[in-house]
Amino acid sequence: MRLLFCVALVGALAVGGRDVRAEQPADPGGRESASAKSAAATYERLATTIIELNATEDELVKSILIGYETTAQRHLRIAGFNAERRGAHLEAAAAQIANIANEGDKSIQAVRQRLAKAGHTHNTDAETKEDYIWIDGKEKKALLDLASKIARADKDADLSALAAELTKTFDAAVKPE
Amino acid sequence: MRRLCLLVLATAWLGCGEAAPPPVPKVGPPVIKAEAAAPPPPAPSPRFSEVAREAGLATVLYAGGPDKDHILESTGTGCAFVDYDGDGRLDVFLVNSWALDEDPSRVRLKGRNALYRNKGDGTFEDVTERAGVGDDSWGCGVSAGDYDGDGLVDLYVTNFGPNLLYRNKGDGTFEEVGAKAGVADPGWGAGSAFFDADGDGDLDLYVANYIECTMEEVLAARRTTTWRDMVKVLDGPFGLRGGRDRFYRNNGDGTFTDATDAVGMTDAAESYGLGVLAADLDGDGDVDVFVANDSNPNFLYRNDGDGSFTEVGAWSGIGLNARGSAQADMGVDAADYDGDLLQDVLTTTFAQDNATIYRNEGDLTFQDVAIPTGLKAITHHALKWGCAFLDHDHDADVDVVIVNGHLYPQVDSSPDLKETYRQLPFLLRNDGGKFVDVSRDAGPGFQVAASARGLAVGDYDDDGDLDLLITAMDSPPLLLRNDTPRTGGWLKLRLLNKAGAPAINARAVITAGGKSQIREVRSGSSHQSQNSFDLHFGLARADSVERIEIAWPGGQTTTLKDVKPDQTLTVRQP
Repeated sequence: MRLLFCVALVGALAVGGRDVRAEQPADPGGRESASAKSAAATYERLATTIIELNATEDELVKSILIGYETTAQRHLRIAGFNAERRGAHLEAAAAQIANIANEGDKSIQAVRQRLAKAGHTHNTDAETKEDYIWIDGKEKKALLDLASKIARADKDADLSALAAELTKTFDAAVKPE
Repeated sequence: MRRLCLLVLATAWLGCGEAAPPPVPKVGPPVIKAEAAAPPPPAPSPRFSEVAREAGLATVLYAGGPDKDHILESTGTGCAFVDYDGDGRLDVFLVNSWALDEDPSRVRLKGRNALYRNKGDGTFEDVTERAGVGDDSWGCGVSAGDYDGDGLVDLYVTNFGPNLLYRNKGDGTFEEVGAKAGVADPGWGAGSAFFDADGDGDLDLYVANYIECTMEEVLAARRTTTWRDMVKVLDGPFGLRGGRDRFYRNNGDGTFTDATDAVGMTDAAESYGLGVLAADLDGDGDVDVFVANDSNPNFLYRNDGDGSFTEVGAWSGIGLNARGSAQADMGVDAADYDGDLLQDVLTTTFAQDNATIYRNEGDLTFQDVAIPTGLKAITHHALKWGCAFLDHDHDADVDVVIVNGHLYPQVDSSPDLKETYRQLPFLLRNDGGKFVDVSRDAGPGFQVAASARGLAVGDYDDDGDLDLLITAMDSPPLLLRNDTPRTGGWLKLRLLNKAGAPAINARAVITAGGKSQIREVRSGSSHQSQNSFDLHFGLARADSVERIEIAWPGGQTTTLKDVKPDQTLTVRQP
C-alpha cells in the first residue's frame, strides 16, 4: 500500500507540474528539463523496486512451498518404516500437500487474502478465476487429489510411487513458466 | 498492482462527479409473486401454506438500513423450533437485529428477540417478556442444548457483540448467564452448536465468528463495490478481517473455558465462519465439527477421540468444491441422501454458484456431487442461505429445502442482472439420489418471494409431517405449514438423555419396509438456526418399523423392534 502512495505521489507531482508549466513562460535555466529527468529517474528506480519486490515475493512463496514439499516427503519416508504411526504420517503428508495446493497454510492464506483485496494480485487461473503465483487450478486439483490419495493409502500402497508422483507434480508446478 | 492503480484512479474519478445514486429498492414484507399457471402436478404433490400471520408470528425481523451499506446488514438472523417449556410442542424463537437509518447513518430501532409459545391449536402466543428473552442486542443466530444438565433446553444466541446464554429455569423463564458462564464471546457470532466434544457427558460449544468490525465502521460504511459492472453494493467479506472461531469447553459447573487452541481448533486463517455442523460424520461415536466458511476453505475438524481435533478439511474433499475452489458457504446440514447410511453434507452458496452436496465416502472423505445429483443445475442462479434435508413427502428418503434471497437490494434496480432481492425457496424431491425441483408445484407457501435467511424444520402442528420456519429480511417470519396429502407413514423419535433433555448427537438407524435410514439429533442447524430435536422419518408404505437402533452419546445402544408407525416415540437413554 505504501508503494501505491509513492506511485500516486509521483503521478500527482508529474500531472501538477505539467499544469503549472503550461501557465509559465519558457524555463530559462533548464529546470524543467532537469525536473523531468529527475522524475523519470525516480520512477525508474521505483519500477525496479516494484519488479524486484514482486520477484522477491515469488521466491518467498516458492521457498514456502518447497518447505511444505520437503516436509511432506519426510512424512512419506517415515510412514514407510513406522507401521505404528503410518496413518498419522500419511495424514501429515497430505496436510502439507494441501498447503502446497493452496499456496500456503491457513496463516499464509489470510495474508494472501488481505493482499488480494488491496489489489495486489498475481496470475489469474483461466478456469476458476482465482489468483495464484505458482499453482494454477489444474495443478491445485492434482495436488488435492494426491493429498486425498495419500491420506487414504492402505498398508499395501506403494509409498515410493506416491512420493515420486509428488515430486513430479510439485516440480512441474513450481518451474518458471 | 495494476488493479490497485486502476482502483485508485476509479476512486479519484468517482470522487469528482456527483453521479446520481441508483434508485433504492423499497424493502418490505414478502410478496406473492405472480407465477405463470402451471399444469396440475400428478398426485401426490407437495403442498405448503404460509400461515405465519394467522399463527400469530408477527415480529418484524430488522436487518439494518434499506441500502445494506455494510455486510452486517445482509447476513440476516436465525430462528429456532424448540420446546422450551417441555410440553411436547414446538415453540418458536426468533433472533432480531436493528433497523438503521441512512443519511445520516444512525440506529433507528433496536429489534428484540422473540419467543412464542405453541398453544397447541396451530397458533402461538408471544411470551418474550414473561420469559425474559427480549434482548435488543444486534442478534444473529441461535442454537439450543441443555448445557447445565438439568434436563431443560437452554438457548445460546450469537450477536454482533457479546453473545448470550439463556439458562432455562424450568418455570417458563430464562436467566441470561453468558458472561458468568464465560461464553459471552464479543465478536460477530454466526452459527453455533452445542456438542459433547470430549465424551465427559456435558455439552461443549463451538461458535463461528464471521468478521471483525465495529458498529462505527458499520454506520460509516458506503457501497463502493461495483457488482457485475452494474450496481454499487456493499463491500465484503473480502478486505474485512475474519473473526476467529471459538471452542468453549464445559467445565461441568455451569461455566466454560475457551479451549480453542488447546483442542486444535485454532482458526489461523481467520476465515469468514458462518455455518456450524457438529455431527458424527465418520460414525465412530464421537462428534466431528464442520464449519462452512464464506469465501474461504471450509474446516472439517476430526474428533480424535480424546477431546482433541485435527483439521482435515483441506485433503478430505470437503474444504473445497470439485474445482478446487472455496465457495461462499453459508448454510449447512447433513443427512444420508443416497441410502448408504453415511451422512452427506449440504452447503449453500452465493448467487451464480451452486449449492453443493459432499457425498460421504467413509473415513471422513467426501466427494462434491453437485453435478450428478442435479443440484448444480437447479441452484446455480439463486443466492442460497438456510437449508435442510427433510423427508417432506414420507417416501423414506430425504429431500432438500433451501431458502433464498439476494445480498444486495440494489439488484432490483438493474433488470439486466436478472436477479431479484426477494427470491423463491427451493423444494427438491429426492428421486433415487437425484434431485428434482418441485418448488413451483409445492403449494402457495413456496410461491412467496422473500429475502430469506434462516430456516428451521420441525412439526409444530403435531400432524406428523415437517413444517418450515423461515426468517426474512426486514419482515415477519414465514411459517410454511406442510399440508401435503398423506401417502406414507411416519415416525418421530424423541431421544432424551438421562436428565430428560434432548440427547444431542444420539443417532438412530431405523429399518422399515426393508429400507434403513439414519438421523442424528443436533444442536445448531442450517443458517444460524435450530431445527427441532425430534428425529423425523418417512416410512413410505411400511406398516411397521422392523427395527430401531439408537447409538447414545457415550457409546450405549438401544434396540427396539416392531414399532408402530405414525407416532412420536419418546426413548430415554438407559
